[in-house]
Amino acid sequence: MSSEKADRHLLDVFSPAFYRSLQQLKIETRRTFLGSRQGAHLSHKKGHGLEFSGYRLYSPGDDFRHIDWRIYGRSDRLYVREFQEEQDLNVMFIIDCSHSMASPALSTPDKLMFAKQLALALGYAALTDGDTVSYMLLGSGTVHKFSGARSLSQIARTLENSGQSRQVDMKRDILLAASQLKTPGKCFLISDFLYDTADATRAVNILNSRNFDVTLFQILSPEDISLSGLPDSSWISDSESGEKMMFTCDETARRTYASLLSQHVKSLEEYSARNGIRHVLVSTAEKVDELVLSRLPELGLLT
Amino acid sequence: MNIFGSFFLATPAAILSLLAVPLLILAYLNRRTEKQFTVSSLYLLRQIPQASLKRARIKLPLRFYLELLALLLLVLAAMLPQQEQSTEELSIVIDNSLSMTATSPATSSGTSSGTSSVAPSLISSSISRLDEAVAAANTVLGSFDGKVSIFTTSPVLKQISSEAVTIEEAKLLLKTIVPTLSTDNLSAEITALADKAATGRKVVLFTDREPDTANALPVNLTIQKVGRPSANVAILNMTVDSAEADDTRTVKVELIAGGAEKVKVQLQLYTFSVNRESAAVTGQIALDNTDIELDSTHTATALFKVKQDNLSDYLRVQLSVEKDNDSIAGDDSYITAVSGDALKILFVSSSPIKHGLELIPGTRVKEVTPDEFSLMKPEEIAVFDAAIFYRWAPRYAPKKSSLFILPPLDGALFPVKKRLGETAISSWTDSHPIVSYLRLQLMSLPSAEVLAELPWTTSIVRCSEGPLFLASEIEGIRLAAAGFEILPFEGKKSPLSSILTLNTIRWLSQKNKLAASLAAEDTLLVKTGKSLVYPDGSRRTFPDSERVSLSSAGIYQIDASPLVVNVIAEEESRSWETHRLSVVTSEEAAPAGEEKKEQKHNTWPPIIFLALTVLFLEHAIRPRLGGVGGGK
Repeated sequence: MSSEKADRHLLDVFSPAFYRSLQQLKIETRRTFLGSRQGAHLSHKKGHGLEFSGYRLYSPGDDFRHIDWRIYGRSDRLYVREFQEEQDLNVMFIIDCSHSMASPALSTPDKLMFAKQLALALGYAALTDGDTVSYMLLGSGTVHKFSGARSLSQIARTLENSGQSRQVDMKRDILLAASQLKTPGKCFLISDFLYDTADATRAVNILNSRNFDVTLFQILSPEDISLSGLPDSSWISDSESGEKMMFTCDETARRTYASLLSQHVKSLEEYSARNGIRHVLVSTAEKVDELVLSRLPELGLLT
Repeated sequence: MNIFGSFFLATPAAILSLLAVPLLILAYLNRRTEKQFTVSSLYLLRQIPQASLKRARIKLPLRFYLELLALLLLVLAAMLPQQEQSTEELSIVIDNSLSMTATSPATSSGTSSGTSSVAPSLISSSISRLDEAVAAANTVLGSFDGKVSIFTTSPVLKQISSEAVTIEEAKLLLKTIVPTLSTDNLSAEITALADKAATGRKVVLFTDREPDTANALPVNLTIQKVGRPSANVAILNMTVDSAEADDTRTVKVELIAGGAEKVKVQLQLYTFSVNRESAAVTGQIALDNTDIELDSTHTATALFKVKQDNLSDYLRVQLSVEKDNDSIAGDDSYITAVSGDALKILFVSSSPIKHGLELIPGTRVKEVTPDEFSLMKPEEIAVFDAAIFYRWAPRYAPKKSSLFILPPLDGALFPVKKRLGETAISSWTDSHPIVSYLRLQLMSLPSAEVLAELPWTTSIVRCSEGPLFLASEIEGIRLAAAGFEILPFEGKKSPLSSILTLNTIRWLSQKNKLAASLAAEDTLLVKTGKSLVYPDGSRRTFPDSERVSLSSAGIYQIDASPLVVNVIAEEESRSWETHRLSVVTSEEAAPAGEEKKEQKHNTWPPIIFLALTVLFLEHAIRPRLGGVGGGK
């Protein structure tokens, strides 16, 4: 597929009005991070930002304008006011590109496409804020970095050109991604998480230990949620491992599955809550633009 | 192979095609086992406890059952199911003449036919012969499988079912048959029906007449006699003489009785008027009554003397008698019109004949010879309303409206072209008053004279050779000539010629009140735009000319002109006698002994169509394939 066509496909999903709305949004973080340059986010670096951060004793060479004369009047000592430096934010998108994300093919969009659209939208919001955006497609082994709002089409092309990976070693790939960023920042991990929670948490712990502000987007399709489309009795196979089993999809099985899924999601939520991680459960039945403009701001992920 | 009565399978071996059914089942099971769905992950599904995973239930989709149904229908069609249908046809003829209204306390009926006798016995109590006939017809229909047509006999043989109908429809039609107050020409008509019946069609006649054993019946005709002789009393006629010197008038009532040794009868005489608009009876007064005793099979005449002043426009006589001695109620009353001034007729004949004109109510007839006529002065002739010349005609047209019956060959007024033997009337002028109410095709003429058609005459009745009845009007003088015998006037005994005579006399005399009082039991021609009021007061206007059957006795009104209808069938009233029915075999009669014909109807084409429809339906509702992971 030519790059121009790829751009048109993913870029054309959203309307120009949506892109303009994204320019007004800013990715929120729960903590402050050091950036590489001036940006829109408060960092813990002291500098010349607008946000007051505290006082320190006057040192020769300090700007006289920052001397707090009222304190001097009270204490006969010279103190200068300190401000937080506003710097850019490193935003990383880790997208699960395993086969399970592209299955079932009936859903439109499938989970992978949904994930890419979400990552593109959030990435553009970050770029317009002056943030640096990185994309890691699990299984590819490559981290793609972008900055500046003009990088949007490149991002779309990169996401379009990435395919599915049969086997994904999440832990290895996340380790690789984390190591490629000099400073931590915001990390969005987008997957269906339909695997052992322990595997997921091991991978996420790497990010947590590197001080990333992690948000997990768990994307499920309506078929994942309710087993719709499965006949009463059939052979079913795993989209990644190819493992087959005979499955009777009666009412009891559906109820049991719903309970198991609920427990699985809850365990992920509990893990996230314990580790200061945001967990957002999303269905591919939702619209990405409504999710980004309405729900994420309500959750405090965007402002 | 016969199944379910008339259905059978021409190729039952085709049932072996059912071996395809297991193949269909295997195909679906195989399809089902090969089908698999890809899911995102088995991670959670694997955790569903084994108890929930029941052994895979073999559940076949709706498509399978539709395909199975289509296959079964095709197998059935391949066995070529066919239906045998009987093509036998039957004509049921019900005699609905007056005599069939006779009731009898208990009846046994027998049959006569050219092929075999079937003698169902009917035990009834006081039901009419017509009811017995209908019941017997229903019995015959109960064992018949084929198409039926229903006929009634009175006043003429008529098919009352439009086309050949089913047994159920025939039974419903039988319920609608009502008796008519008439005679019929049953012998000839039944012979003709049996002759004309198509090959394989049987005719069954239900009648109270006995077939004449002297003649062999047509082999396709069966006559089932119903009813048995029963006693009856009937009024045959009532006339009113002209007023006598003391201003009284004599009413003569002729009766006939039979079937019982002696019968005592009470007669009640009424007079009444009729509302000209509604034909409703008004001002009915009982005038007189009398008892009369009749011996069996005797006629008697009862006389009433009534004052002229007490008389209204009409008289009615009603007889009462023991029920057991009176099996027919329809002939127990009579109505006649009371004429005002007497109709004076001059009858000119070279020799005395029994003309019967005195039977016309209010008529006075003077009989003269041609010589006497020649000597009559004009003022003597002028007092008469009309003249009738019988087999003689003056040289010059008389100055009096006249009827010439069988004018002489060399007559100057109405010359005769030729004399014929037996001839049939071929046409008549509907619009002329002389033929009002007449169905002349029923009139057979043993002999006739074909009259010369003259410029100043109108042809009223014709045969194939020429006109038989002419009429003309010149300067107010009306002349008519009949080339066939219309006398003697017998009233109801010969209704056609009687009506013709009355119509002619009325037309000649221009006296309207007179002719309206004669019974007309045949169809009545009602002209376009005229209204007919029935005795029950109902009115019907006719947008087009139509012949109406008058089946009820009473007074009708046509355009405010009254028409009296009475029962006039003496032969029908003789219910104590068994009348003969003479049916003659003709050479063209349908052959005997036809095997029961059956027709085979293939029923497999609609089955094929049904199978194709099911397959189309199955294709149309085929669900889109798909599972949780998408089907492979």
